[in-house]
Amino acid sequence: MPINDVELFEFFIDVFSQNSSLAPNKQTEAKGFCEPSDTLKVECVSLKSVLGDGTDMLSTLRKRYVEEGKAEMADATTKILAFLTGPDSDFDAKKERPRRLLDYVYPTV
Amino acid sequence: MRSVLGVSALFHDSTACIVDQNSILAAAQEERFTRLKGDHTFPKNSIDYCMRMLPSGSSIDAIAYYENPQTKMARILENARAQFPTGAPIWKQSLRTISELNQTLPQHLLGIVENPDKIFFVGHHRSHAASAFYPSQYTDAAVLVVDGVGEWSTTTMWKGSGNTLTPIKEIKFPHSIGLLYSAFTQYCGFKVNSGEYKMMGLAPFGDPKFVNKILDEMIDLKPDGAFRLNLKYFNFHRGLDSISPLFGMLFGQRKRDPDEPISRHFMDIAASIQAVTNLIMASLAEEALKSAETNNLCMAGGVALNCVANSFITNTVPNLENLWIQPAAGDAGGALGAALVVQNRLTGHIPMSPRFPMRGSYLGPNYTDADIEAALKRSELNYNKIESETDLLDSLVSHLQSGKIMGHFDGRMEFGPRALGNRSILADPRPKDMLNRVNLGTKFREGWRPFAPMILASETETYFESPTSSDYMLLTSSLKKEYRDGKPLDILRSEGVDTLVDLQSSSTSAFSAVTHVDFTSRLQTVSAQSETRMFQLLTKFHEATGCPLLLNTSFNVRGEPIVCSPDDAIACFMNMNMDVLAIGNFVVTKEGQPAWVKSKVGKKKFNAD
Repeated sequence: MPINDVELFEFFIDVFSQNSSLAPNKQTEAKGFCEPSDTLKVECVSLKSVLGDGTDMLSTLRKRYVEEGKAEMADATTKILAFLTGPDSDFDAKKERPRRLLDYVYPTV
Repeated sequence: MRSVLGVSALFHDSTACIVDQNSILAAAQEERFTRLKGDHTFPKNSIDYCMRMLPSGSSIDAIAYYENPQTKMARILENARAQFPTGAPIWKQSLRTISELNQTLPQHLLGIVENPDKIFFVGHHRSHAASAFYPSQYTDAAVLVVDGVGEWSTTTMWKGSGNTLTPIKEIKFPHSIGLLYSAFTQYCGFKVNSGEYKMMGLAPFGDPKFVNKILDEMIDLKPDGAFRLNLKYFNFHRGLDSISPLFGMLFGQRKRDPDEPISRHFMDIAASIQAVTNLIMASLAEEALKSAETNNLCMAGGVALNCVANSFITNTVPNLENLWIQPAAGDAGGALGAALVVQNRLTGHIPMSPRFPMRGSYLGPNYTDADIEAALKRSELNYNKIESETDLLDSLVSHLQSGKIMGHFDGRMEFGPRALGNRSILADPRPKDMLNRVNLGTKFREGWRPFAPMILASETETYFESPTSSDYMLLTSSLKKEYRDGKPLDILRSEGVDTLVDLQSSSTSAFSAVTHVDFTSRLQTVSAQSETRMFQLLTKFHEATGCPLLLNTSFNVRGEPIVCSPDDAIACFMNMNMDVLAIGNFVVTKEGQPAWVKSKVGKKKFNAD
């Protein structure tokens, strides 16, 4: 059975509610111009460097969060990776996006 | 030769391109092959086409992808956390995107090049910046990138110097001009990624009476162009709508249903957001020039397709001497920019002269006479082949001169959103009924939307005010007063003319089909350098009629991508009110066809755009 909306909601509650301080996100709270981020300064990165020793990018993202001391995000990434790739995963990632999202709203995700 | 394949995918306008050390060999959007407008799927067909354009025996040395998927996943995750739990409506889509980027994308890329050391991710805004700077002829320039969002960035300024691009400043998601404009597009009942052009077209009908309300309530705009959205009016960062209920309350009216008539309120809204966009873009451009200490400006990102704002920049920004805008300024161009960045990395330099000229943006597939004739035979249409170029041009001019609407298919397809003559519908812009004939009968679109002209570059200053150089339809110019017949908009309104169609048809000029109600036109200037048949055709038309302009609109019907192949062109010709199809050296006339062909016109149902 594919995951339904209630189960999905419960999953996200599990992912984020334990760290639901709802602290302002520093990435989005900057006022006016910011100094260019490191992402902008880097010319390019190879797939090899993004994959690291593994086969997926979420794992290296989790490691990066750990290195940056963002334990909450590292934990969330671990759960999402397990959700998407675990043996019991039945999330249908290939399902078409709702037309409404494509037709009238610029997709930010 | 070292070749790099550039790819953009999985968002909108998926694209592939290929560059070698000295030139852009090919570029095309996936939608042209799949016939799905704005197709976001991995561009297999575009990649196949680009691979076929490699010199015989050579292969690609690297793949450049137009954003860093890991950084994008981080932004999606961190935004989900920041918006928890109100962002629940977009959680499912967030997971789909993360899954696609994490697993599907690497599989696709490794299916082309097995070595992950040869696959590179270039930041979204760096890709845009490179697409604007490296094909420009400037060795020193400020580069301004403004779009919806790429990874975290929504607005970036760069200094381009020689081979290097150095970021200067950025503004991050969710504060975004692209998303602001998109929110207004949705409020006015238009679709994203096509409705923006309608918004631009609607603006001259209105009075910008909401400018102060937008600037006071919705966006905090600093003198240096920095801005910050008041997020209580928006929902794009957490929901399936771009706008929150407060948006409509601010303007005293709910959002327009796509099928409702366009009232004066929405004309005023369109005029207001266009005026605000002009102000913001001009401030950003001025700041970019100042920060980069130069007088040359390059631009890219979807907002750089706003030709009204571009002309406002040209006419108002002090110290701006030269402006070059990437014609594929949206995400399609990101594939090109990424490829140029990686080419620069592999070879250690970008050629300085010439750099990477856009070749008129004629970078898509070409078809031989044999291909075309085979398609015509399959279609069972009657056709003539005219071998002599002079005879062919004379025939085409004769058709245009007699008021015929012509599909023109010749040479390589255009890369980017604009048809620049090789996949265009052409007509004489002077007859008073031409706007309606092409709008309603040929393209099945709204009657109030004007078309754009192509004009001989040598004649532009005779007919239009500055700016008068616009190779890629990225600037608007005002028709000189002596060529205007109609009354100004305010007079028409005072006389009780109020609907869009009535206002448009009352604002006549010597070239009514290609001038807007404010007598502006979105020009494409054509010179001998374009190396296309269009220059010869325009020259011959000018000699025959004294008119150096032709109506030019994209060769497609409403809701479909621009035609790519001869089969696409023939299908379009058969389904729309088009009198003549000039396809390579072949000429097909509707009147020369049996009755079964004529009976097909208008029978196919098209999606609204």
